[in-house]
Amino acid sequence: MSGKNCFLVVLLSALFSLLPNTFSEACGPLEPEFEGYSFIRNDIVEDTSSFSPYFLRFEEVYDYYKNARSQQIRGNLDEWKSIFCEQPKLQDLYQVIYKTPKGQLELLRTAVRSKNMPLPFKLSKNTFALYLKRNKCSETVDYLIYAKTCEDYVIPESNVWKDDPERKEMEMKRLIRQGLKTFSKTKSQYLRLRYAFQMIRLAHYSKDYEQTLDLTNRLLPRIDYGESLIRYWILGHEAGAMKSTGQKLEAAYRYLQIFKNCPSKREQAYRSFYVASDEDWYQLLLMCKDDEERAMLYALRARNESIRTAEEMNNIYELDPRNEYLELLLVREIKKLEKDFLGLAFNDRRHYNERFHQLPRKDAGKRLIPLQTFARRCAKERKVERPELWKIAEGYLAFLANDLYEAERTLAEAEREVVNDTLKDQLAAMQLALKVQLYEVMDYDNEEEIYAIMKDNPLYKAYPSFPDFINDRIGQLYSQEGHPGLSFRAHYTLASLKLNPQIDIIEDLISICRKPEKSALEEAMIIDSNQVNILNDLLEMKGNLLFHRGQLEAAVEVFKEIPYQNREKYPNNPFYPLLHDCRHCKVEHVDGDSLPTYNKIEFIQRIFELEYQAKANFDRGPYYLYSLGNAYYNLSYFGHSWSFFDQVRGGSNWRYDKDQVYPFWSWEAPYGNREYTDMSKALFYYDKVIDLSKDAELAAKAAFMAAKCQLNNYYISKDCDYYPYSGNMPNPPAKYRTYFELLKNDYNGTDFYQEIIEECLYFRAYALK
Amino acid sequence: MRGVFNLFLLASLLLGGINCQSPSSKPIMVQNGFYHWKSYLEIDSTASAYLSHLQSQKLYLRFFDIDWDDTRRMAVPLAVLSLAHPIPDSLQVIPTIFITNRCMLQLPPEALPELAQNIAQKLSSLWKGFPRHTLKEFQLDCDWSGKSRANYFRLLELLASELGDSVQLSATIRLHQIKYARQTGIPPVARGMLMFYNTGEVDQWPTENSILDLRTAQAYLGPLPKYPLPLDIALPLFRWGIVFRDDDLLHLVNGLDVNALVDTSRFRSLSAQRYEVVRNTYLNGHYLYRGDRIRLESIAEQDLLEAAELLKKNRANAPFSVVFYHLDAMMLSPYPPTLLEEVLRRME
Repeated sequence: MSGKNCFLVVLLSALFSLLPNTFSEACGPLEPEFEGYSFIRNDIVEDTSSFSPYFLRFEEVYDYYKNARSQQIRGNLDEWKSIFCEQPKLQDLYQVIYKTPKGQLELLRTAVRSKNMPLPFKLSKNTFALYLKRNKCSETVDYLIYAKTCEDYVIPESNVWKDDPERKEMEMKRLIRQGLKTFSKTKSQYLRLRYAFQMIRLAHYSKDYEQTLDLTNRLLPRIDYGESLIRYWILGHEAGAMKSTGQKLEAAYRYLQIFKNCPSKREQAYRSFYVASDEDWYQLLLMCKDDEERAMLYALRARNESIRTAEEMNNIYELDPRNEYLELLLVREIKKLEKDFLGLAFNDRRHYNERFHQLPRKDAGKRLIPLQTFARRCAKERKVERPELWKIAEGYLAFLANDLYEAERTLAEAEREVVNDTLKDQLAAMQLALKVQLYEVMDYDNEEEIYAIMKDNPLYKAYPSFPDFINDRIGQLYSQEGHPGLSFRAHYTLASLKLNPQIDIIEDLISICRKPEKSALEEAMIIDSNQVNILNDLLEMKGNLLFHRGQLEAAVEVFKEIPYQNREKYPNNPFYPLLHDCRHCKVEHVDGDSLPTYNKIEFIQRIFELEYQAKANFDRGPYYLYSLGNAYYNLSYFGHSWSFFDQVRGGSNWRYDKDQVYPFWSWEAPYGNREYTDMSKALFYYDKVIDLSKDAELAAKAAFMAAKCQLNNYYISKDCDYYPYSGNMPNPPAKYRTYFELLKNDYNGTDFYQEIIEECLYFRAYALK
Repeated sequence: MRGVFNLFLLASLLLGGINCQSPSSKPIMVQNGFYHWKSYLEIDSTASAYLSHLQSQKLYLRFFDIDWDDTRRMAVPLAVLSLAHPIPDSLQVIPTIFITNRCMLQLPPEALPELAQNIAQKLSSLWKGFPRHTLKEFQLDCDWSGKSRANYFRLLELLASELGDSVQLSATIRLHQIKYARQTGIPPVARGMLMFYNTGEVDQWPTENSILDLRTAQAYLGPLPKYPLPLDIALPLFRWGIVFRDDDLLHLVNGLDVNALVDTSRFRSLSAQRYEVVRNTYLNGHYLYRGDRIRLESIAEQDLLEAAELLKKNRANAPFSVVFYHLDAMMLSPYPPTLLEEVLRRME
């Protein structure tokens, strides 16, 4: 290493190595996900009800709401397709109805009316446009143009800021008048229905509620068309106008109809549904045609997440025991209770759930017990649609309530009743989870059994929660049995241990590696992701730990246990000093000559030699001490050979280090990341050199290296207010600058002093102050 | 040198002495007004009577809210005011908009100039509904946090530039923003409106009164006279019921008072202002279960008067406005105009 270019590289590298990683806030705050398990399958009810996606994905209401528009579009397109005898392709309908601008639609109208005029170029191959032209459907195109014109006033798109309410209202009134004229002339009953919808929506959005109701009452009787999605869309606007004019009960009843029959408007109907008082509720119950509708009313109320589910389920059951929402509410509540209770005793991330999700809920127990009672009742009375599902639920709820004996017994009873394949699979998964929870010891047989589950049981792969559930459970059992290593491995890879090796974990795993008869699970625990035995890695970590603790002889003995062929030479020479810190630099040559390299044993033996020679050779002693100082400096977090006895280093850790451990927030770093930032040993040797050396050049070098140690101590101290981004140089208090002071005052006549004045910007700035 | 120092010290003491004579001892001009915080502009006869009795000069009219729209990835206006009733010419109308802190957190800084333009244009469009009034002041309400401060303050600067010198920009200030002004910053506006309420932890069942607890408020008022912005003061004239289920706040029921809870077949009184639901029931559109608990909160007459005294002691010595929140017949009913008159008198 020599030359100015090299120094530039070194300087830049040093700068970048010190830059902290920053976390951008541009992506918004991170919200940690729930960390737990679930074994209940949505599809045990999904095939039985159109309400399943609505009820079971309640956690994603926002997405549901966002998707409502796309559902509405899909429903609309499906209806258009059926009107035109399924002939146009869905994407072509979409193109014409939603993506074609008004000008193009007008060209389409001309083409449809004319024999000779071709379709607009963009629509020339569109099956819907071709259909319209072939069948001369000019009435339909007229409607599409009218609807496109109305869109500007009812669908807020990107221009949400620029509306002019007055102008908008006048234009909406004009469009209603125009619509009324066209309505009367239109022959197609279906298009009349659509015109009516457009006008009623315009009236509603212009807040003319009287006109909304008037149009509804006047136009609908004049339309001879049966069942259509559009009728529910109209019903929604009618309900909105009624609500705004004080007809709250009538409005609520209409929202109930929409909730029941129109999936794409379900969420809007729920949000608009309003019952003010008990009296209103009783009136609504009376308005319902039958018990099924009354049960629907309770189901609508049960959409609210703060309800007491079991109570509402009881209400529905009393009216209509075979009601489809009972199963949906059951599964929805079980999914919530799983988050509260499943694996609570061994979930190693439960504290995060508590902190970020307030789980378990305070009232979880109050919710579980009534639901258990209700499920038992349904299974016993057998009035429900599928009593076997309720039996399974009864057993699983007992499992969640930690009544494992009762759970085992009930699930076994359910096994005798279940014939449906999906339910059988569901039951088997619950029984497997229960079996895992029932393990009390990690003996050879249990380990073999668990290994077989992980390797061969199809449920293990089919249910994403099984790996975590089993790992966490066995992690808990191993921990209870005094196997910190196996417990750690149940949760983490070896890479996690390398971040901050723990001696008890290493020792435990080494003992397992050397155990003569291992279970298949233990065998799996002591191989890495490349199927290689981890013993050498463990010995490496142990040796490194002992080295950093100053137990060099013990470290050598440990490294000797690693087979000779695995003892790699370290590419850098740790004894060679650099003016500028650089963690990525190769320090293999100096002025074209190779520097000696060492494996760990050779290196420690060289340390022993230098220590001996430093004491034995009075003249050369300070030079050996300087090499020792350099070795300890370079092996530290700040040196070029940091990775000789450490495996993971974070570029920003110096800034956040606490007792040499960077506690970064990651599931994969349970003990944080240890960094060896202690400069005391290097400083000890540099001090000795300064004291003993008769060579001013050597003393100057030692003083400079000591000054760097001091500067590093400043970086990791609480006194440090230096940020690399600031563009400023660090400005440590005087107590961190004593060696620079020494260098400036006592060694300013040395060649080395002149060299560092030229090479080291910081020192030059300081020296010239 | 020592002599000069002593002279300086003497002058400081004298000036300090003058300052210590309480900035509030000399009567100063207090204007008054109301907030109108609905999306439909309606000044009914009750509201008119209050405005008239108090000879109110100002009406802070909520024009619209601004929230972050995740789908559009932009700030959007919501609940835009519909105009129906004309406003008396004698009242100065101050358009006010509420911006959610979430919006300020999400908005990229490069989108701020566009938002400022959008707000100014929207304001201008809505202001057409007030042809007989002159736009003199425009107010923003945002409970900004440390993370959103830079964005919010930049937006204020941009808006001030959009509106020009003829329109004064003001911003609401929470009590904690007075006490921790160094940390939360001083908004770059001409005036501040101190929201003298929401002093307690609303979501904690043991809280006595989260709307206004004078003991708590007092602790925040120390730095008030030194606050670098001229401040007007907003006082609460509202009440609500807070429903708890299993110790968690479930609903805020606006305007709820004791009359709604007198039915002993549905509610049981636990102590003053606290009730328990004894059977499942609907209450103002909220479905409650047996065991739910309700805490009623409102501002007592005495609290309002004491608040006035407290603020008088701590206010700066300059003309200011007292604005009542908010102009709603139902909310105003427990507070006769004469009481509000007395509150205003005590603050002069």
